[in-house]
Amino acid sequence: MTTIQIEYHAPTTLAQAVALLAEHGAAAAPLAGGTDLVPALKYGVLRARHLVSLARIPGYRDIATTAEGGLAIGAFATLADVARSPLVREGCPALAEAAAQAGSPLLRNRGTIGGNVCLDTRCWYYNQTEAWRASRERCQKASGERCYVNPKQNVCVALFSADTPAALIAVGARATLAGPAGERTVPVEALYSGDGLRPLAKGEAEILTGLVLPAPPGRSGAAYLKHSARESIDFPLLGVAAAVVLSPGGTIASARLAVTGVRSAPCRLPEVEAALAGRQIPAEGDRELGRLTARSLGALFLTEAVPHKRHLAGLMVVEAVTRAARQAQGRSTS
Amino acid sequence: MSDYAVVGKPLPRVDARDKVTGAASYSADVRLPGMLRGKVLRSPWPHARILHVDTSRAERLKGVHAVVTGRDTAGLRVAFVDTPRYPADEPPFALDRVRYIGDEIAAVAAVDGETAEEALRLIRVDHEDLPAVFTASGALNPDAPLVHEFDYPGKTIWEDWGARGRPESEPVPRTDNIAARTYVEFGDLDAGFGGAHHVREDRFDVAPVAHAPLEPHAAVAFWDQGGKLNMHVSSMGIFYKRFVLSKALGLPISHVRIHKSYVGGAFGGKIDVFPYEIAAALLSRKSGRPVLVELSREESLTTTRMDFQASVRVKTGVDRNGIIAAQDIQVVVDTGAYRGTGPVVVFLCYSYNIPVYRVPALRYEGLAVYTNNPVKGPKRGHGAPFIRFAVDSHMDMLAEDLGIDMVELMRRNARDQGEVMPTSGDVLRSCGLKDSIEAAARDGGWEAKRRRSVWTGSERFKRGVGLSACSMFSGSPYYPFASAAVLKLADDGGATLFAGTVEMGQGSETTLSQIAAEELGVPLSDIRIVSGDTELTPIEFGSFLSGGAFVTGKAVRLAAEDARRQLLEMAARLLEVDARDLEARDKRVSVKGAAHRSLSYGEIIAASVKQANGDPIIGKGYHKSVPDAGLHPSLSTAKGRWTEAYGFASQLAEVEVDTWTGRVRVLRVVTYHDCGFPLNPQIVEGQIEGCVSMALGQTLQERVDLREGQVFNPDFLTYRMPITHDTPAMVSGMIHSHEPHGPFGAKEVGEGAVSGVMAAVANAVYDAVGARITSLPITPAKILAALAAAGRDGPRERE
Amino acid sequence: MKHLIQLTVNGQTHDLVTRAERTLLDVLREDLGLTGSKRGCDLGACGACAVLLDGRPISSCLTLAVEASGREIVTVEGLAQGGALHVVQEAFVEHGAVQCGFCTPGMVIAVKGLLDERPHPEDAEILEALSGNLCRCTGYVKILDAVRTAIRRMSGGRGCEALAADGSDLRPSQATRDRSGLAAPATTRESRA
Repeated sequence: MTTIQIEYHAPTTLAQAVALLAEHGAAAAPLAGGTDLVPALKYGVLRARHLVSLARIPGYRDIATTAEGGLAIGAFATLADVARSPLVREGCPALAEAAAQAGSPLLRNRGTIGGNVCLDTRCWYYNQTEAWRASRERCQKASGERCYVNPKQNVCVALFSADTPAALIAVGARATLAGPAGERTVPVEALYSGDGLRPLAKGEAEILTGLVLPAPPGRSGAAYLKHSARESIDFPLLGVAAAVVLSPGGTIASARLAVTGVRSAPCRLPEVEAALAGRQIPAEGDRELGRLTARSLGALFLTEAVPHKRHLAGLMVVEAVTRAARQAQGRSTS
Repeated sequence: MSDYAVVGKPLPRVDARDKVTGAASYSADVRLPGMLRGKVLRSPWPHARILHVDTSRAERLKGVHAVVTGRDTAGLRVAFVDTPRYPADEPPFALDRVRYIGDEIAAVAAVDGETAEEALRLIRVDHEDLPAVFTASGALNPDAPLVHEFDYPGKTIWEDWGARGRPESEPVPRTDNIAARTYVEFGDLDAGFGGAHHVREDRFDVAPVAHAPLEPHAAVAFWDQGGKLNMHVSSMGIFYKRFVLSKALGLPISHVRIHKSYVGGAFGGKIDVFPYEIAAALLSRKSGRPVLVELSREESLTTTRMDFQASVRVKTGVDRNGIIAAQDIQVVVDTGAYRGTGPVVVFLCYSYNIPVYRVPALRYEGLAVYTNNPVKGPKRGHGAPFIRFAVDSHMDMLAEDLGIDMVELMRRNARDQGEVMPTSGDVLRSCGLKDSIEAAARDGGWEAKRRRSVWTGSERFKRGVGLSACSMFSGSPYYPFASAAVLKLADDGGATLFAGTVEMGQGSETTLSQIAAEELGVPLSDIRIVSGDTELTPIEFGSFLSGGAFVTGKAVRLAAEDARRQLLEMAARLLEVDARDLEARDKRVSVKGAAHRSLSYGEIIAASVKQANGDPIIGKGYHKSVPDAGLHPSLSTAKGRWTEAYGFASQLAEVEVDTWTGRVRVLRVVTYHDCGFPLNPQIVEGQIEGCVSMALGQTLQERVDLREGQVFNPDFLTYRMPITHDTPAMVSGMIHSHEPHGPFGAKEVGEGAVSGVMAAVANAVYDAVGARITSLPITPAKILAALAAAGRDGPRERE
Repeated sequence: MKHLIQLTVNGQTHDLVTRAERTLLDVLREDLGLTGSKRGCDLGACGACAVLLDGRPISSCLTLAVEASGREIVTVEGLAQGGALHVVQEAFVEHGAVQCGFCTPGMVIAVKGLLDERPHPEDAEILEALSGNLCRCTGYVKILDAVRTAIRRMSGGRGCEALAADGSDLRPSQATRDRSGLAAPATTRESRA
């Protein structure tokens, strides 16, 4: 393993942290749990030479209900804290499910939800040691010229694979960013650029400090499903989150779907959402909806069995929607 | 049946306490004053000519103490197989060529790992790419680039043991990429196939998998003032390592000492002597300081051998009752850039397969082919997993063709006790194969659970069962050919056992201590074991070819028997009775039928020292792996004795297939292992459970993802071995066949149960959903593709 | 850049100077000589380096040492007290849950972390809690048995030695292990008696 020499900063206030990030610009990165960043350091692909630790900044770890009946989650809370929080399990089971399935228990005890939301994209040619990467010219994401996965377009297609953002996007969560110009909030979706090289759309000196989930509408439910090679440790081959609002008649009034593990950002599936609006809760294994989902995924990279992944996406969307709808039914009757 | 006091009991392991407290020391845990860290520079090119290696900048870097390149090992070639036919082919460090990604070019020792890595970056290697070949079939093409242009049969390191090299021989130009070939033919094939009621032929493919022991490879080297090399290594047999290191470094054997380290799992991958070990020795010699070379996980996975990529073609002719009349098998393995154990595996695919079913006429051909892929080596089962996957999948298909139940088909063809193996003459003195088949079928619920090709139900999850059987040696003739043991009695009748075994997880320290305690008549707690050190212990066969318990266990039993005999003889003199009228137990010798006339071991030993001119009573025992065998069997013709005893196992898998996603969940694996006699049932169970888990990984999810010679999943995030969630219910039973040559009737247990799982699962998947998967791993994508082809995939259309 | 850090490991406080890029595992193994925590993958994927950080099991190979400064660390060396094994260690020894032993330190730490937080976990919780700890030797069966025994012991219940006393073997959880619910078979059979 390579080790890059780094400067470590341990600010004790958020303002200091922002100032440090602003000072060092692209050469700096915030360090939270380190479960994504330390491997990058060992692989020799971390661009930052200044690590700004968030560990000694008090606060930003609480999970509480908001005045509006939603949830406010400090970005520095660990994934384990989020997964086991009674407030999250009750208020947004989809997020609890996503947090509980990220990485392994050892990683969830260190990794934060903010870090998971800000996870770097991954690629076969990038997440490798320096010695491994020496077999060919550096790829774009490692500051080279080429993309080996998508050589035709020569555009980086590194995959975004974090679990929690799909759930957050499906339920319409917003992210709070603290930066040199103060604080701002954006929808979680808007945190992502879609660019495999630099997947985050936030400013270099901005720190994700919190996530705010709106109060769930009446007759609504949300679920997150993960498909991975093993039931722990692995990144999702595919993660699907669905949030569903039912009409008084029991049909689907509206649905929001977010998937992870498909592109360089977590993404919505607008065509499938549109097709769901106004119709009955799909039956298990609805093939028509499955096919629509499979088509709507677009080009798939970094996937060994593309038809299989499309097929799975179809199944998972149907199941996620069904589960979310069942949750909504449960809530409206209780 | 037995009234043993110590063997046959599930006693806690003697090494467990050290291991649960973190006190157990592995090679990478060794800390010596002034110890440097060594790192290896490896080829990033799959095939290249090396024009020049410039280490001057690295040597000048502050903190660097030594650098080693091909110039330091010029003329040296090392390999597990080193015979006139298959001469050693692997230079420890490249001189003029590198042949795979990971091939060693240089090594550096520095004050710490970071400095050593920095130094590697400063080494300049001028190279010229050469055309490379990455598949066995491509390498067999007449136009394929040659991975090796010459063989060097001039000498073999086995000359001391009577294997003659061809000293006059110049390097022999090679014309193809065939690294090894085993060919066996017997019986009347034409008549067998011609007269057969039914003939079918199938092909199976197996992806390479990794050993992936939790401990990455590591070696520590330091030299005495007297010029003796001392090492801690990741090994499976310290005497083999000592021998090869002494030859490679040109040292008398007495000038190489392997010190004890625990080994964090090996599974076949730690038997070879590797360039990084030679590097540690050379770097330490050059620097005058101790050197630790600890490989990264990536290096361990890609450059210290992996299992073979293999394809197997099986053709069988049977009569109307399913009795095999003739069989034609061809195995082709990609052995990688160096021979590794290619010559051994193509021999073993024949010899691990032949003990299972009676075959009157056979043609077998095994080819090991050079490619520019990583080098392959023995992994638990060493060929048995893929040959048994192929043959028992094929048998299941034959069973369906013939309308004969698979259990019945297996039973009709299974070998019995007393049968003699063709070409080797090995006799099955104990054989619980049929019993194991029946037991596995019974406890696995075969009759009740079989779907019998009924796949019409509309349910999403479908279950099925499948069965397979396998066999394994109990040691084989290979260096050092034998084990010896010494049992030194203390004043109080306790004893220290000196046995060269390496504790790598298999439980040998415990099992051997149990054997000594039983035979000596003392409780286990009275035995201390000294192991894993070539200086302190007599030779030991090693824990490979499944010879540990069988060969070394027998030597230990004989050593304890020797000590016990001496105790009895001294007691006979003291008690003035015939030694045959005495019995020894619980650290006392007493006159049979007159328990009051007895002496404690302590009293006897004291008397022996006083009366027998200072004799403190030391027992000695030894045993050769196959007493009437030569140096080793012919790998190319399979002639010559292979082993003294065969272990057998039958395994039943029950699976549940999700017909929508293609995912297979293994619900239960039932194993019945004929291990002769379980010396420690808890350890035997642990071996079986570990075999099953490892085998399920290979069956369903593990695969070294090789693309153009590069491993794309060289870490534990992407090389996916089973985790807790993947643990099925396991029933692990033992058949007591009482091997007459084994210690207390014991024989092999650590490898066999890895080899029946693949076909058992493949057959169970077929039983569940009617999809025949003929390549490993059995992935969801393959299952869905097969179901789609059969029109049985996915959810049904909405009504 | 070097930093002065203070680590409390197994109750002992150490003041150390270290470079920022070194991990907690590096410092434990190299600077403090605590080699019980193992480097299995160096990527947080195997769990052999697990230690308790403020009571919670984490991968020390992914934690920078500077980040652990001022915090409480417990390694496998800190579990046995006064020569007496911790209940979890004891159960691992009894059940043969240890083979090569390389995963054992991390595994024992992960179990301790689980039981400190949830003294009576369900089987599914045990599987999940240990799902980041790889074992290549045991197939996990005996590890899971050991955990179940440790749970019973810690809650004052009878351990497996009680079962052994009535002559049956040391396998208290065969029924739980066998998910399909069939009765466990006899484990040994005589061949051709």
